[in-house]
Amino acid sequence: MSRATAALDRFASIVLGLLLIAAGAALLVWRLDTSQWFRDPLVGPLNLPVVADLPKQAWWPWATGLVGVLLALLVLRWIVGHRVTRGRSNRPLPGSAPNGRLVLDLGALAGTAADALAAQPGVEKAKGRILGPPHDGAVELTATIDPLTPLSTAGAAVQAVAEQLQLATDGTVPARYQVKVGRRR
Amino acid sequence: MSTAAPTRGERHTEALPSQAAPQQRARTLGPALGGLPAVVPAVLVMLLLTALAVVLIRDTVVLAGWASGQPWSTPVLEWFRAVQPADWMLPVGVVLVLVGLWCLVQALRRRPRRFLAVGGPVRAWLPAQDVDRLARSAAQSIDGVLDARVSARPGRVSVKVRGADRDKGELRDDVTRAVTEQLEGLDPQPSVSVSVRSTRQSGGQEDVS
Repeated sequence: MSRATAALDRFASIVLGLLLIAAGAALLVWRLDTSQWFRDPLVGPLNLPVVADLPKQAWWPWATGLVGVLLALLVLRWIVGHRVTRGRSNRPLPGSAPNGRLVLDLGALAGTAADALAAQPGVEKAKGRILGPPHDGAVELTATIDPLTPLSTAGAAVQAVAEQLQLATDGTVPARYQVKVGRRR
Repeated sequence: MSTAAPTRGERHTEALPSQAAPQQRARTLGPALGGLPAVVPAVLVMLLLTALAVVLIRDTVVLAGWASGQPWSTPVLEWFRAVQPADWMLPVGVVLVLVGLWCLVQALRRRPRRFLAVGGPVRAWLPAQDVDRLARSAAQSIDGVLDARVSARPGRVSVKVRGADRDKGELRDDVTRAVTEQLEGLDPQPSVSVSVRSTRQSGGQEDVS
């Protein structure tokens, strides 16, 4: 999710919250007849012919159509903003020339690094994946350990694989390391 | 280049290999953040707007004579011609205010951070709830522990064990040592407090310390 979509989510939540609070408060004030405590504009029956007569206006069908289509487009764009974006699957390597391009396959790198992590003492299993935005071009490695394995052992395993990754990629690939605790067998 | 954990919301700024200096250190990323709490009310808004769009487009089609039927919006708007206060407004008003407040709280909440750091030059991230599992396993591995309950908060792990046939002080020391050793590497290292409830197997009496 992009920052703009996250900001839109927050904004929409604030607008919805304020509208609901205003509507709820209006219903309560109206029903409770609070005119004895303060100047209450909501007293007795309400007659709003301006609103009720809207469908009689000549422009009404055009307005409903236009607003309906705009709302549908807005919602579609909003939903698209929430789609999970995949990270790029490779990084360029030095040494590329006009007649050939050298790239590092991040998926293969993540898989191999996960295999190396799974082979470390104390690690039950491991998996690796490519990260998407905002960490495009980075990998994530997750080690699962037995609940009786000391955490320091998992830390040492991560340390060893981080060193291997550093050597293999010249430190060009950022990584996130996670340790999870499996269920006791 | 530093391998220290970056702060939240850090941008991805490392150089591409072709521009990189030799011998640079790979950057270690901070923990994954949880989902945005505002997404839930945002989905509610999306659903409401979608429903509104469907009604408005359908009414346009009906009003244009492209389909038969009555517009759905007309009776709703007609309601505003003569509306009176009614009893249903009290519960509905309270519910609307509460849901509105909930939306505001969700909108302002930060993304949850549910990971703790495992120390070392390269940091790894452990889901906070997994600390419970590690501590419970360590406590239950001690002879004489019948049951262990763990409550872990950042910087502090409390373990309540039910033990039998052992000196309470000895049992507390053993459990404290096992849990501390198990969690060694957490940064910051949490303090471990252990309380022991001993059960006398024969009499069924309980004694807490």
